[in-house]
Amino acid sequence: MLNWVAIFPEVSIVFMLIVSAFVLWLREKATPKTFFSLAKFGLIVALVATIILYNQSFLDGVYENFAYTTLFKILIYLAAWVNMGLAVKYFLAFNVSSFRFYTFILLSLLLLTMALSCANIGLLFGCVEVGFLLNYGLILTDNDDENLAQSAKIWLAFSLIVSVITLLAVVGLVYLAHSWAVSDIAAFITASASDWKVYGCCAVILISILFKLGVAPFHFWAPDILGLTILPVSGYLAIVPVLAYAAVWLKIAAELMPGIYGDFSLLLSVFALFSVVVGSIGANTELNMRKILAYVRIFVLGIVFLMWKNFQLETVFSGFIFLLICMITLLGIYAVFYGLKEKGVYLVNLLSVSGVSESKPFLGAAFVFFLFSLLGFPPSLGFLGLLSIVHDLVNEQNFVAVALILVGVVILSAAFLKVIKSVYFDKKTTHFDRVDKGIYWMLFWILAVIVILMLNPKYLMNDIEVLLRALMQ
Amino acid sequence: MNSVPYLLIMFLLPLGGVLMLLLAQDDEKSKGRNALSVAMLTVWASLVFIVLALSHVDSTYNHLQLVEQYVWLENPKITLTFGVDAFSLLLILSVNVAALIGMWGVRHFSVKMKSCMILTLLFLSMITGLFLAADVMSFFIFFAALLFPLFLLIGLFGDVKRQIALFRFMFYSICGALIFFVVLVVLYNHDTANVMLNKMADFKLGPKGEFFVWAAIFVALLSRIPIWPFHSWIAAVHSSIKNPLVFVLANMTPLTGIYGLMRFVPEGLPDSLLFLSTGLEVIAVITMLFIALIAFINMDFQYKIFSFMTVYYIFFMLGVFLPTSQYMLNIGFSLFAFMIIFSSIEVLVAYQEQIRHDNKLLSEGILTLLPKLSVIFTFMILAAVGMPLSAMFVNNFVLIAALLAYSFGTTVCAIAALMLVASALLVELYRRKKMPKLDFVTDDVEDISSKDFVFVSLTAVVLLLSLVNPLWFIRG
Amino acid sequence: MFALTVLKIGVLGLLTEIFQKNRMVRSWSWFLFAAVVLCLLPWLSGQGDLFKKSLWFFNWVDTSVIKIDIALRTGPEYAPFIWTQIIVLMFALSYNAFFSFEKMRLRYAGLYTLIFAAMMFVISAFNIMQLLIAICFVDILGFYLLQDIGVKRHYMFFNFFADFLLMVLFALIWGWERNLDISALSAFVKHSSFAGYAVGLFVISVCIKCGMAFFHNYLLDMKSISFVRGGFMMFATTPFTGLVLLYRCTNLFSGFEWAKYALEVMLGLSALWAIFAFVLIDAFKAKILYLHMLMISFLAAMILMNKTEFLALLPFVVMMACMLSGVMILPLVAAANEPLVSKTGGLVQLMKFSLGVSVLSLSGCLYFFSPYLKNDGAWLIWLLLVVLVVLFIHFFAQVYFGDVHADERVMAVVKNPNVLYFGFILASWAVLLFHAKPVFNTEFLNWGIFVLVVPSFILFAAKLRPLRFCDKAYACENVQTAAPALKLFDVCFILPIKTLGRVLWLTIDFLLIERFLVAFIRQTIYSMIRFSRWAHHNIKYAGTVFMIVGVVLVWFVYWLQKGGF
Repeated sequence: MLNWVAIFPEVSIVFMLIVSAFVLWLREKATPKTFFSLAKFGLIVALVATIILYNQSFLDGVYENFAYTTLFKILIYLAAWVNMGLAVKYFLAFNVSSFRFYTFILLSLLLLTMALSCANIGLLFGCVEVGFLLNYGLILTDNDDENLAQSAKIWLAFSLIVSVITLLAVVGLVYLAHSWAVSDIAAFITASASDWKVYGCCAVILISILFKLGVAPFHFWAPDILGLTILPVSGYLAIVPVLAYAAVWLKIAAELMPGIYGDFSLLLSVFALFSVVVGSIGANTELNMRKILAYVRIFVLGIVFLMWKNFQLETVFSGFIFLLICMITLLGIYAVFYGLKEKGVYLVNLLSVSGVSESKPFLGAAFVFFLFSLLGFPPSLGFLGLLSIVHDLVNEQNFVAVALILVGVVILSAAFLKVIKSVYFDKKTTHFDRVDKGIYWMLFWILAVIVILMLNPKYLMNDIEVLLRALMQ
Repeated sequence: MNSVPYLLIMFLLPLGGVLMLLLAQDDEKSKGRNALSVAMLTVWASLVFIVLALSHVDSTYNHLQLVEQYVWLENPKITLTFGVDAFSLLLILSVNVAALIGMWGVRHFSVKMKSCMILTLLFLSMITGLFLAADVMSFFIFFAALLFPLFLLIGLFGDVKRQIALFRFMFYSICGALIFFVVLVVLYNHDTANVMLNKMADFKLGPKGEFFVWAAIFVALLSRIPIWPFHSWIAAVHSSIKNPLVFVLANMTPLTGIYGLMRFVPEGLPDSLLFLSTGLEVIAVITMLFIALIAFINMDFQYKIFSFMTVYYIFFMLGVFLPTSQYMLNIGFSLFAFMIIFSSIEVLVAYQEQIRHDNKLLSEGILTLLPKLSVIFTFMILAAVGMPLSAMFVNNFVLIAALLAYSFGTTVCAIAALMLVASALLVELYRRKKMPKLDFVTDDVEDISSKDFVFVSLTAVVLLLSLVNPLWFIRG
Repeated sequence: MFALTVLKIGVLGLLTEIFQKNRMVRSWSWFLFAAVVLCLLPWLSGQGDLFKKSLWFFNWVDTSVIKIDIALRTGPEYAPFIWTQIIVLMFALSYNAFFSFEKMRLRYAGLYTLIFAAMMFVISAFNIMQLLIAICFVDILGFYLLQDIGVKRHYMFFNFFADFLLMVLFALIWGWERNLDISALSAFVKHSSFAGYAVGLFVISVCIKCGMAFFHNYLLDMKSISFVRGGFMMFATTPFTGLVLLYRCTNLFSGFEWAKYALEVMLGLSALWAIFAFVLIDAFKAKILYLHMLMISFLAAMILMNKTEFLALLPFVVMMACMLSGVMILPLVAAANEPLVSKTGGLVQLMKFSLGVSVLSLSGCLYFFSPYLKNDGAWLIWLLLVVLVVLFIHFFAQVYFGDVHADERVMAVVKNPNVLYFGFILASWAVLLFHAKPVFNTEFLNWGIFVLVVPSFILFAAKLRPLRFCDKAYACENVQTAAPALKLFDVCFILPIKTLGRVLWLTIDFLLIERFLVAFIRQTIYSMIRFSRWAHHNIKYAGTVFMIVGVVLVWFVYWLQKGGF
């Protein structure tokens, strides 16, 4: 029996999309804030509805909600909300239409959150692939940069190839298992784990997610895309899809491939370590701040997948916490980016933000604080995340990984020190524009969240673990 | 637990000062005086609490007292544990007094006083936390945390010409912190990282684990001390800092390494780890001699002061090999006087440099133009080279005696290094006091003001008091 | 009583230093002199407790590791040393009050009294810590007394070096014996395996402190300050502390005769050096300093002989030294501060009184010491007296007799100095005569020989000028400015240290660390960065390559898991 109430969140998003389309069609002058307000409203309703309907399923075996899907959805909605709130500053500053941006965001959110609830493999991967491909439209928002257009085309080409191969793998699994239900396929995979065809299909599926996340060696698109696209899109793509695809990954590992996941442990270790190396070194090669953060993202994902190579509660939990902490910190950094403008242009190059601490001390201090948190310096939040990670690796006697991570942190610190040098030690060469008060408020709230979690990490470390347990069960 | 959480207050006071500084008004008119006043008041308040805490601590009792525990995380259990004895309180006292002297020295410098004071108080808070830490986790947190304000202080206000040297120094320190981090995790993995510092020796690990943990602890703590062959990275930064306050604070970092060694290394290392202590001895002596020799030929006074400090730090570090429960108080008193002496010398040198720069003079013979400054400067140099003008004299005597009994050869080399570095200081003193060859004497050169003279004289009085009665602020 | 006296004198000195006056300085100096005399009156009049045993002590440091007491004591064994200091203090304060070439007389007067108080602690020390600290305090105060930085330089280094050696020595002893008492020294030399090193350190320290040959340059530098301060420094500060050190720590020599012999050799060398330098060096003040150096060597030799009767002579020897230096300064003052002996000559015409007093003073010294020539070990006194006579004959000959070498301007003002300059000389002479034991049975013989015969002989010998050939040395610049000891130190110590420092800095810091280690790490990191940039520079090719790498890795891992090689 269909429980229509359960899909109220998704419906509210669809509804807002329709309303946005109408507004665009009917209203002559649609200010950037209009579409933000609409999107925000839809998002809030979806968020609240998700919380209220946390264990309501639309159709058992097809579209189901559990405690952990609710948790992931809440995190995704919250991250998206903050991004949207920051993004509107951009569109207001340039006085351009934000319809395209918010529409694609909402569509992407819809598909990603749906994927989390899908118990049908076709629906699941349909949502995942389409949701990813939709990013093409997002990437080209308000941008006529030739380089970006070129990179986006190449990105699209690779994404299409990957999507097609993934869908083929999905179809293959369905054919072999004779079922579209995730649970049936999972049982089949467990029974036929030694079959190379099954292994191949599962490998393709996993690689597809890794590609979407930007884990090395499938990371090549991330620095270019995140570095060249406009700030709102870069901020969104750097954070929200990571949370979403990480959630999808955990779902796949727990529900689709529990029987074969262990066979990919070595492979995941290799990819993870590769990401750690690529991320840490790559961050030192760039002067584009967003590209630096793209590499940091790769580094972080590398560490996360080192923890997720075995699907055990402790390692999954510590990986997830680490990821969450890093994403919150990245959110803070992107908020800082919104304050770095010269003559209306958002600054990208490290050299152009020299001496920003002189005129914008709060931004400078916040930036440095976030960077130190990413490095895992105590007593920041990042320290707890890193402690969790390294503790579990030591538990596993995986000292090579520990050594590599710590070396990676040292190499990454070189890049961060370069940034700090530019922000604090170099002479000011730019006359920075006045920062919108809303940016300061956003930064303040992000910092407040971080400080609260620092002082009382119980909420992060204990309460979330309880919710994640459901996933393992 | 005590009713008044002295230790928590001591740790939080500088942070409170930071908050007050953020609210303090500072503009072109006040020229940073507000910020400086707030910062100095904060340090004075800290000193009051430190002295209060000292009055509650029994110096004859070897274990940590006034223990306070604050739970950070329930599961896994991570607590912040504070505990002190007379030794750690002496170090905290010395660090705060040195910082106060540094603040006094920087008040005529044209720097962004508010930012400087904020970072100074942050650093003071972290280093206080380190000396208060009673378990490994708490120790590590502050061990790593103090790098952040230190780096910004040196980079922003240190006026270091070669920034690449600063980065190298930071990498080196970060590496040390990360190695310690691994130790923390190993302990955490084994049982809990809330192992009390003085119980590290009782912690049971297998032979491989024992070797790894202790070697890592040694390496991590030594990374803070300019040990050969990594001394040049630290030397390049510390000796080139022009700002006296930043110089004083930056040169406090080796103290963290020494303190750690004093706390971690047990009396009587197990036989399997004796090679570590031998290695440490050899490296210590090589470093002392090496740095002392270079100080002797180097014309830069900042480098001489840095060398003097390094050689003495390593000398105190050799005290690790002694029965620390017996000699800790001696080392503590010596360090107390030592910190006051070196910070006073640095501030006075900075003042001379300012005069020299403003009046386009040479450093040779500059003290002939500044008679009042000359008296105090001479006093401090004589106290630094080991004359009986401070607590350093008697306590260094005790340490030298104990070290000679422990290892004659090592101590003789160490003494040679101490003499070399003291000679270097004396050579510089002579150079600054002798009449210049060319007659460029100017009447416009302003000697140290009466207020400044009184302040520096008070530090001299404190030093003399520490000689006359080393126990005048300690119970027991 | 003793402690109170020392305290009073110390306070007088401190107050003088703190409340410096710019006006009526001479009067204040005389006032201080009078105040000090008043404090010392009981002793000066023979009624004090200087020869009675008394003790005042203070428990300074009392910890579980070390316990240090500070004491002030008197008694027969301390009295000679204390008397010496009283004499030197009287000498210094009196001359300081009127010596026209002294500028900051009140400041120096204060320092003299402070140093006296500090020396009491040196003399009274019954533990090595008090000895060490008091010696250091005397050195510090002496450092401030030497106003001239050129003089301070060598003083600073030599004394710092000696004090450090002493500190190490005493630390070694205490570390071994765990006893600070000086009596523990004998136990230390018996039991310790490092006793040899300790004794060696001690010998070097004493040599430096006493300003013996090769270590005397820091004392020689005092020729550029007034003879009052120079004399005071010699007998009331560092060299005298060396003598006290030698006296208190002679236990260290038991079982180490080589050390005693080494010290004796150094003393002999010092005496020879002083004699030759006195004869050959032109400057008045340098001659005075060499005279003092000779006396210090003599005193050290006396102490080494360890004879009680000789120890009692200590204050008289010092008094003699001060008196003779006062005698030697008379021509300098009279000749308008002419620094060189060679620029005087023929002054007898205008300074008969000065010459008379000088000759009688020397004769008085001979009279005083003659009774001791019969004692066991008197060869030393014989030697000293003969040397003194020869040296002063040479001095008188050059200054008072012979051709006039001073210029007309100087000769026009030459006359006997102010009567005040004779005060100390005559007072010392009187004290010597008062305490002298008769040599011959009859008073007539005693007075006749030492008032008539001996002075006549001295004058006659001076007129003959037997050592006139030594005057050639005055014209030789190399002899006058030579400082062979300093050159030796430079070559043996300073230069090798500096060379070693430079070599180490260049090879280790620069070549090994900067050029090799740091450059290697930098190159490695740059190579990785360059490679990464190259690998990612084109998204199309990078994408293709990385995707292929990914697929290959998948296959490779699968193959490994299935059995691999």
